[in-house]
Formats: sequence, structure tokens, C-alpha cells
Amino acid sequence: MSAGSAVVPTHKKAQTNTGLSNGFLGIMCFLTSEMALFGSLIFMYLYVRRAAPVWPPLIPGLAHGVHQYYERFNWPLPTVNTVVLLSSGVTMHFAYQALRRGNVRRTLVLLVVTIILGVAFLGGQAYEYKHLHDVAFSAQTYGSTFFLLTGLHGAHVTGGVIFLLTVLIGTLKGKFHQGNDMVFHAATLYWHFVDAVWVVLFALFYITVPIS
Amino acid sequence: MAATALGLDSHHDAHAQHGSQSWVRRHIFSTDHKVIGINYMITGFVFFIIAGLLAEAMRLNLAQPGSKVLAPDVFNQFSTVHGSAMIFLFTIPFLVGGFGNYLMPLMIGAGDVAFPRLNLISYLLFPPGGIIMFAGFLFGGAAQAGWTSYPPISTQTPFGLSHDYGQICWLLSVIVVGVSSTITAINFLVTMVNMRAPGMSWFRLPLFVWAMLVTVILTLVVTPALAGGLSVQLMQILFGAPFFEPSKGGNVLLWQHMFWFYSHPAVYIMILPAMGIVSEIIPVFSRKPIFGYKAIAYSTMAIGLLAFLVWAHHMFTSGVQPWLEVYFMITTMIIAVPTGIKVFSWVATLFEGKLRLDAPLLFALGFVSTFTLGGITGIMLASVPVDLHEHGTYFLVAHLHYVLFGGSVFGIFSGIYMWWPKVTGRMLNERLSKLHFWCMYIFFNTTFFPMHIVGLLGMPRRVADYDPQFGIWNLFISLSAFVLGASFLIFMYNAANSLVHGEKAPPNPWGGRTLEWATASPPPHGNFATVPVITSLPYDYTLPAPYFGVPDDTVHLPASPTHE
Repeated sequence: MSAGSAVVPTHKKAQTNTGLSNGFLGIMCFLTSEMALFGSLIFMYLYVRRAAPVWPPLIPGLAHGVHQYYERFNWPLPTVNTVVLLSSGVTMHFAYQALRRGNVRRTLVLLVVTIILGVAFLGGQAYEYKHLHDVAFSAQTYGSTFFLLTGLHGAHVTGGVIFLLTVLIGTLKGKFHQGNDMVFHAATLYWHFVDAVWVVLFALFYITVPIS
Repeated sequence: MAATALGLDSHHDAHAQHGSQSWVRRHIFSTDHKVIGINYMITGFVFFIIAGLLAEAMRLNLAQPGSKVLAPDVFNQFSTVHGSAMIFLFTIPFLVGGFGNYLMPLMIGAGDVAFPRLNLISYLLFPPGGIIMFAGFLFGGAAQAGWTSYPPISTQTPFGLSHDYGQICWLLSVIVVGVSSTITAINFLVTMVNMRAPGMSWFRLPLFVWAMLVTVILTLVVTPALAGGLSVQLMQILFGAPFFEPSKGGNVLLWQHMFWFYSHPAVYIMILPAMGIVSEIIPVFSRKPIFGYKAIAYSTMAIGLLAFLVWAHHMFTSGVQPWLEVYFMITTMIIAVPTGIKVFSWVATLFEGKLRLDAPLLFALGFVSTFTLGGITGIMLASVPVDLHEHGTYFLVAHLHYVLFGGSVFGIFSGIYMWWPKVTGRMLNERLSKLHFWCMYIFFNTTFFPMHIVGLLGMPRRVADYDPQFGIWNLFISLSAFVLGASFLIFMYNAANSLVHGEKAPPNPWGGRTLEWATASPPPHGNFATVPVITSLPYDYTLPAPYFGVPDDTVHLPASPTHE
């Protein structure tokens, strides 16, 4: 830029029309698009469920009813996994609070715990996938919808774990701190989003009993 | 507009720091929104030409009944790729990625978009995404189920192949281009919300920016929904997941709902920026402020909102419940109201204006006339009884070309003629520009108007051959189409000539009042040395045209990132 022009401020001190930083608005827009993606696939699941003559499809040899539905999963693993993921959301929240208050040590500890819990969730999901009863991807839409939605969610958790690792390295290097917390905040919001999606999926796939 | 911006001569030292960068770094891998905008337009135009040639080949085949120019499955591939490329690889990228990128930051007084590097990533996804769609031709045939890609046709494997590689290419291509679009939408939305110049309140935004605002909100919400649908179809084709297979619990209508939930708002994504362009051109070339600024702004928002509520009017013949059809018929007719408000406002702006009938205005008038006609046939089709008769016929082909070609493409060309001096720093030849307009307008109408008639007479769409009774109509349409295609050569010659020999453009050849005219042609890096303070609407012709005065050091730039 030539002489006589105004200096362009940094992210933190930037004056924006709304007072919110570009990065914060950006991550909120991104999460909106993600909600639209999951929303359309949840719509798909509900549509298929409603339009199918029988839901869920019958397992040969077993009487139709609630028992059969629940028998596909390895209880109490799904519940435990849900608690694990939601706990990681709590630890992430406090990790961000600690960063904002300048307590780097506490931030790092809580962030590491969050990552461990996230990986534990993924491990639980992998175990769940291997040990399902009569849920196949291509045999019937029951399996297709289940694997697509929970699989997409798992992919998002994986991406989230990678994001958290990046943030961990950045915090260790001193790049993210009390004065520069936008990326950490974005990671926190993303992680909460992943939690929220899981709550919805858990309710739709594991808890609700279909009306025959 | 009381502008105190300073425009720099484009050869000033703003470029000096980049002098040591290679041509590729400066022109392909630049994060400057203007370079990215130009790149979108060039790439989009290439796809336009290719998709147009596919249409000409189809018209060659359709010129006579019983013609064997194209085998039926090849015809279907051409028809599918023509539509898909025109929508996903030309209209949307050119309007949003091209005009949106170039003009929107300038019009709001920003130095660039909110996330320039992300902007570059958006662009870099576009050419490969487009090429993937055409790659299908090399793998045993491109997609052939129409741009609407309905199962079971789209999920069946073509005879003689192990997989429908063409369809897989189509799905991947649209996913990639969709991701690019969504990233752009995030970028633009944050830019418009957060980086407007001081004093630029919402109701001082130029109408093109209003159009972009609603367009990107639509894009942000519905494009991921399409991505969901596309992934689901991909899962079925690649892994046999039976989402659309009724015998295994799937449902064919499911695809239609998921597809049209995106694709109906998509048509508004394609028309709103074009309307925004026309809203900018008409006041300038009438030397009058736009009539009904707030009405147009509110109508734009209303169209955006209603866009979500009308999608199943594409599904009237597919077996949806009658009560649902009535609901969608009503909402579709309602959406004509804000559209009509805009048309009346444009006409009222022209009334008693001091008209300057140069190419930008001619194309804008072409837009208004043909788009209105397309809108009228749209209302006809919105009525369920009419649609039951006309769905899948050439009547619909006529309607969609009147709104997409007569609308979006005429809007694109009016924008090209308007901003060519700003972007290139050169003027186009006015006589050639007018000649291009008249050829395009006349032959557009002779090509597509008869399609209404032949559709009402019963000719179906997406057919390689037809009953001989339609022969004379199709011959006339095909001949018109060839001349229409040839008329683009006038523009291409004009453009090439202008770039080499054209007279240098002043900063404000048309006397516009929006901010892009308050800087040099072309604008330098960072667009403005200092940002103007906005005190009024951008259509006040009582104020003097923007001038180049002394920079005001008390003005701070809003949150524009430092550019590399």
C-alpha cells in the first residue's frame, strides 16, 4: 500500500460492523452449513422410516416387537459412549474458559482429556460397528441409514479430533493464548456441535421405538 | 454518495511489491478477490461455450425427425451434461464466484473478502470439479439421466458397463463444485455482514449487494442438503445401499425431495444476482435513482424466504399427495408477487428517465422482457392442472430457457458490458456490442418461443427423436439455434479486440454512483487507499460523480485482512 493510507488492523483489534470477529461469524456460518447437511440426511432417515411398510425390518426367527429392535445393539455400550462424548464437551468448555483466563496448564490438561475422550468414543463406535446384529449397509435401508448417519458423524468426530490436536500443538507452542483465542473458540464450538448432533442421532436411532 | 475515496493509478507501486512474483502466482494463485473473480468468469465462460456446443449438437440431431446424427444414449448424455454444466459450471460460478467476488467487496467499500485464502481454495476446486463431469465421456459415457438424475434411471448400470462411471463422475463433480460454492457462501456472508464501509447501513447497500446477500444465505443452507442427497445416491451406486430401492425399504420419491429442496432455491441463486445486476444498470442508464429501492430490497428477501417453500412444484406428476400439490401451487404463485414488484420498479425507473440506449441497458431491457415472459409461463405451470399436461414437454423447456437464458444469461451479458471497462481498463466497441445484442435477442426468441407451441402440441422433452408432425417446428428452432450460437462470436471478437486495441477506460465511463466507480479502472490491490464514509444511497444523481481527492487520514478501514 502506498504512503498516506490507513493501517490495516490485526484480527483482534479489527473494527467490524457487528463487533464480532470475522472468524467467529465464519465458524457459525460453517456450522449452519453442517446443520443443513445433517438435517437433510436426518430428513432422509425419517422419510424412509415413515414410508417403509415395516420398520425396522424383521429379523428372521424372532418375533416382531421392541425386544427385537433393541437386540441389534450391544447395550450398555451406546449409553456409555454417549456419556463419554458429552463429558468431552464439558471438559472442552472448561479448557476454553481456562485459556480465556490465561491458565495455560489447566487448558492443556483439559484439552488432552477431551482428546482422549473423543478417541475413546471413536473406539467405542468401532467396536459397536463390528458387533452389531443384523445391521448391514446394503441389505436394507435400516442398515444403510444407520451406517451413513453414524458414520458421517464419526467422520466429523475424527475431523474434530484432528482439529483439537492442531489446537493442542498450537497452544503448546504458545501460538494460542489469552490474547489470541479465536481458533480455540472455533474448535470448542465445533466440538459442541458434534456433541449436539450425536444427541439427536442417539435419540433417533437408539431410543425411539417406531410406531408399527 | 459523498465519496472521499482515492483511486490509484493501476500502475502505482501497489503492484511493486508483487513485481518479483511469477505470472502464475499473480494470476492463478492470487488471493485478491478481483483476480479470483476474473478467473471464475474465464473458467465459467469456457464451460459455457462447451455446454453451448453440446446444445448445438443436440439441435443438429433434432433438426429433422428420424435423424441419426447422435445415437439416443449419446443424445441423453449431451442433454444431461448440457443442463448440468450450464447450471453448475457456468451460471452459478459466473454470477456468484465471478461477479460476486469482483464487485461485492468493491461495492461495500472493503479491501477484500473476509477470508482471501479460503476464497482461492474455493476457486481452485472449480476447474477440476468441472472437468470431472466431462471425464464421464472418457469412461464409457457421461451421465445420461438428465441433470435431475432421478433413480431408478440414474442408479441403473448402462448396458455393457460394469459400473455407471459417467453417473459417478457427475455425482463427484457436483459435490466438489458444491463444496466450493458453500465455502464461497460462508466467505461472502461474513464479508457483507462485517466489512461494510462506515456509514453503509443495510438500507444504503447497492441492490446488487442485497441480491448477493440473499443468494449466499440460500447457497449456505441448501447446497449441503444437495450434498447429502448426492452422497446418498453415490452410496447406492458404489456400495449398493438401497436408499432408493423400494424392495429393500428405499423410496424413489426420496431423491426427488432431496434434489428439489436444493434445486429450486438454486434457480433463485441463479436469478437473484442477475436481477441485482439489472437493478444496478437501469438507474445508471436512466440517470434516475432506482424506483422503489426498499421495495426491491424487501422483495429480494421475500423471494429468498419463499424459495424454501415451493420445491415440490417440480413433482406434481410424480405421485405426491393432492393436498400437498395444492399447498405448493399456492406458494409458487405467491412467489410471483415480489418478482412482479421488481419488474414494476424497473419499468418505473425507466419511465421519464434520460435513457442512454447502450449495450448494458439493451441487455438489461432484454432481460426484463424475456424474464417476464418466462415468469408468466411459470405461473401457468404453477397451476397443477396445467402442469399435469405440460410437465415433461417442450413447453417446460421453453419456460426454463426464457428464465435461465432470457434471465440469467442476458443478465450476465448486461453485467459484462457494464463492468468490462472497470475490470479490463478498456472499452468495448459500441457498434459490435449493439449488433451482438440484437442478434442474441432476436434469435433467442426465434429459437425458444416456438418451443412453447410445440410443447403444447405434445412434443416431449429429452427425446432424441420425435413424431414427424413436429418436424417443421424443430427445423426452424434448430436453424435459429445455429445463428444464436454464431452470434456469440461477435462478442468474442469484440472482447479480444478490446483487450488488444481497445481505448483506455476512464474510472467512471457510465457515470455510476456505486463505490466501484470511485476507484481506478482496473482497481488496484486493496481497492481503495482510504475508505469512503457513506452518507447516502448509491443512486443519487444530484451529487457529483465520485472524484479523486485528498485521502482522509481519520478514516479506519474495517476488518480487512492484510493481503500477502
